[in-house]
Amino acid sequence: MNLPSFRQSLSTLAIYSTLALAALVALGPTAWVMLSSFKTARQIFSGSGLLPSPFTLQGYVDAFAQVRLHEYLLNTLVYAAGGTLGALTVATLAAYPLARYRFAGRNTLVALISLALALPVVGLAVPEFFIMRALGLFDTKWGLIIFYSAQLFPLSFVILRSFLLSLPTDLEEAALIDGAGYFRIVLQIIVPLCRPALATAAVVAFVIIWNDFFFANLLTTSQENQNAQIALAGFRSQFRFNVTGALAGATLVMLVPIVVFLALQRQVIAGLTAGSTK
Amino acid sequence: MCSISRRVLSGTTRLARPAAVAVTLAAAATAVASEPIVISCGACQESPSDPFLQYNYEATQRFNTAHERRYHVQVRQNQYANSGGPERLQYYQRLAVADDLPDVFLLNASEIKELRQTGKLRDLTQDLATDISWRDSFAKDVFSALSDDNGRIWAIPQQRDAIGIYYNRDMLASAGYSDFPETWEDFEAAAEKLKAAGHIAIALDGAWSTLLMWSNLIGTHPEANGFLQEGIRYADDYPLNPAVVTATETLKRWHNAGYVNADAFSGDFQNAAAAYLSGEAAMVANGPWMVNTQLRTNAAIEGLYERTGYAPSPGWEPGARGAIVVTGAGWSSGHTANDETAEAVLAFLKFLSSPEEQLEQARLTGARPAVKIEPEAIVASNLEPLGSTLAEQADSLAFTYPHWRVHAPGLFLEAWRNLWPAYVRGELNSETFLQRLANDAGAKPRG
Amino acid sequence: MIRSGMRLPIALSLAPGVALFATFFVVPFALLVTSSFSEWSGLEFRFTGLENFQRMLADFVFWRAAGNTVFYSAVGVFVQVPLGCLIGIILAQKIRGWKVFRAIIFVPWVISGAAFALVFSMFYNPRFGLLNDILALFGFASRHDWLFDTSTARFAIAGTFAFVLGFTMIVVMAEIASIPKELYEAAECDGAQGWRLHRYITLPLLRNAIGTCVLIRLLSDIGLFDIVYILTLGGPNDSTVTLALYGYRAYLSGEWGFASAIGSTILLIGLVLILSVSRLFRLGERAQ
Repeated sequence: MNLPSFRQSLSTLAIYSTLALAALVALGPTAWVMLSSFKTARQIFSGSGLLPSPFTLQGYVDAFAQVRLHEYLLNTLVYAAGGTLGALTVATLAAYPLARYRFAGRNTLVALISLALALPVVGLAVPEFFIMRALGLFDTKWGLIIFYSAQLFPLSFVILRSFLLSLPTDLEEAALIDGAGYFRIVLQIIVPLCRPALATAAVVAFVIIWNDFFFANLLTTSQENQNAQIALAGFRSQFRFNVTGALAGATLVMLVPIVVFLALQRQVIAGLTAGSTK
Repeated sequence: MCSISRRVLSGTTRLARPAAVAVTLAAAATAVASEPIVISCGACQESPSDPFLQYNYEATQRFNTAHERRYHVQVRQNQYANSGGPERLQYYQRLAVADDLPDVFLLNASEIKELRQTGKLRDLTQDLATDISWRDSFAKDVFSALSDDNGRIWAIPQQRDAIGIYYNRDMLASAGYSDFPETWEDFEAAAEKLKAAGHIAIALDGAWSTLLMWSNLIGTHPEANGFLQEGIRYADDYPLNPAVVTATETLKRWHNAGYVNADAFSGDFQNAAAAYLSGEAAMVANGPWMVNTQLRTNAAIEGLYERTGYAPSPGWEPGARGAIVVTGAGWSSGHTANDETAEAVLAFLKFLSSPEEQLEQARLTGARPAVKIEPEAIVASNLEPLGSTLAEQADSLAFTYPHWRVHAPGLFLEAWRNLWPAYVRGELNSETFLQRLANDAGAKPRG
Repeated sequence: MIRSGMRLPIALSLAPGVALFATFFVVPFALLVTSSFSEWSGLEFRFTGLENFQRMLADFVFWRAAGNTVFYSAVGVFVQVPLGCLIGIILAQKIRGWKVFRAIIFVPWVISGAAFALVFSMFYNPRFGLLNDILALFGFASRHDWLFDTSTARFAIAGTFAFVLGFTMIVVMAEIASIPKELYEAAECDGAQGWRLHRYITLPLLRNAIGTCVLIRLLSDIGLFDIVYILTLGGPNDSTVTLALYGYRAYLSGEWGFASAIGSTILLIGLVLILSVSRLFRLGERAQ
């Protein structure tokens, strides 16, 4: 036997075993729970069999009929979409002048906003709650949209500004010479140019807001304003003994960001690496 | 957790009919038939999964229809309506600070204690005093958990439940017990036999169900000295009360002897229930609502309901059994002024405590009425026999007592869940465990 | 410099960002710091000096929370980041199937803490959970209660995030992609091969990327909340409690000033860590 090629196939085997193990550990428990959402409660609690037998969709029916999961999902969508849109709009408006113009306080402002990225925000829980209440935003949909816009503003800002810094300024200068106004430049030149950066920031912001439990739990109290993560945490009580319904609901709530990620992998990856290494 | 709240949500009311009529007439005379008076309810939302909320919802519809011109109860959605735990209290405290409590909503005894300090809860003492027949319509002791030390009443009782232990008659019979054990000694002997036969003797969850057994062990103890009624509020009483120490150590012993399910600390009543419903466990403690919400659903194995008995707690001496009897919760109001809104609030509360509504609630939820009801009416309404039998039996037992939740300080459950597994595994001694439990729960020093 | 006609539009353009930032970061921060030195219940406010901090430092639960937070951070830094790097380096070779592996290994990163908590409450359950079944296959049959036994609880919690490798993996992959191919070619000419190539070329060049991953990991571990809150409430016997949960308990019992003191401590620790990690990895400087 040819020794080098044997060693090579041995190392290939090692590499693929490592990868397979990593994949299994990463997704195994989740996949098992997703699979269990098609089982009956009796099978789940008896712990017998990896595959559903009998196979049932009752959990999914219950998730909508009993817990009204669609209402929570809709709320979560409103927050994720609204918060993302808000954060991106505000961040674009702020990133452009802070990337292109020099004025007093500019560097301080940029440093402050970037520093906020490094804040463990849970530390701010109590004051955030207090401020939301003082502004009359507590436990309202608009309140949460505004709050998430603010939360995701620093991240979007950093991604957009570093992208803008890497762009040449020719187009804007040409437009300025043509006499275009400030906001026309932002709207007609900057936004189209920033599309890749906007897309990455959008996907990341969307997923982060979609998955938020801490602030949704802190800042809302009525059912009509709560998001799917809270519903998840409360499933066991909500459903009482309908464990299949809980697992079905969890599966659906997990699937949304997974699908977004799989569909927009490139943007997510670009966004995360841009936001972190730049 | 929800199951916990369940028992906690208890209900209310009773309508003293003549008084209600008088109020209605008086109101009709003054109001120029126009817009109805609208009040908000924080525990009346529709819920296909929670029979208590569902009952409240349906009752609200009936009330609104019956008083179409005069009153209208508006449902205020509330995620915590059916949850126990500190979140709900925190939620209502926030609303109290914002002066935005619902006009009617459900509170359990410990929440009432905290919330009345905000000064935003309606003192119902006067309302009951001015309507004697309403006040007299309630069953024995139902106000005790809903009043303060000065006798002021902060909520109208929702229900009055006897809570016992469900047991699988076939499994107990196979261990040689045709009747449920009468003493704790017998109980442990039965558990030993069940364990030897490969069964889980009693299903526990480290929270609600475990604490029901703890309450039973304490409540039937001759030296309990009212711990569940009062002492549980005071830090000094935990390690000093002989009944509490004995109960705690007995309960621990069951774990160490292997009588319980492997997941007895999860904090999810769901896990304890699953062990019973699947036929693995011979016993589980829970309230009468469990019949409708689980035993008779397809979550239980075939025929389990028919094989299930519902017994009071064993006692420390022969013939000295006991049962938990509680009005753990009631309807409170966040409307303190005496205006026409108050009039609507009282009309709704009286409606909810009418015998008809209380029976309807019993039928739908398994919870027992908080008002006196003629025996014939009970028979005629065909209530579920397991719960009804225990409720009747309870009045002639040596001991009746509330469960831990009624008078425990606000963070008791969290403290228990945190410390109990470590105690059972021998990491804390009894004294340390009880002292820390008291402190972490928020129990105050006496005096 | 700005033409005078631009001043107004620039100010208008900055206004919303500045307003949001001030309202939700600057003001809360100021409030947090102020209330750390006070007794505050939402109704009353009274300055109490260092009382909250003294009480916190005297509370053994605080030290347990701090210890656990350090433990979780250490798992993140010494288990998750190295494993993520390893996978990232392997996949950066673009071996067959790398895209599939990248997708699978990254997916857990987009799953929420609340969902993960539900998944692991099932997975660790001693009666019907998968973990004990798997261990039984290898001859370790037991009904161990992973989450509610003090000796294993914090490991069980750490196990929920220790293998979420996706973030480190993609950052490392992106960084490797930006390393000029010529460097490797030159090293190969000098006789370096296989892992030696990575040991002497890739790893040093990854300094910046690894530092970033360590930093991000630390930031999220300091604020660890969802999983612990939903799974164990910090128990048993506070063996899993984190600083964030410790602060939340204070908030729940209505002691907002005390909760703020804990919050300030979290921010302070965060700040110290950022500075020291940036120093250690010389973040911001490009590799030579």
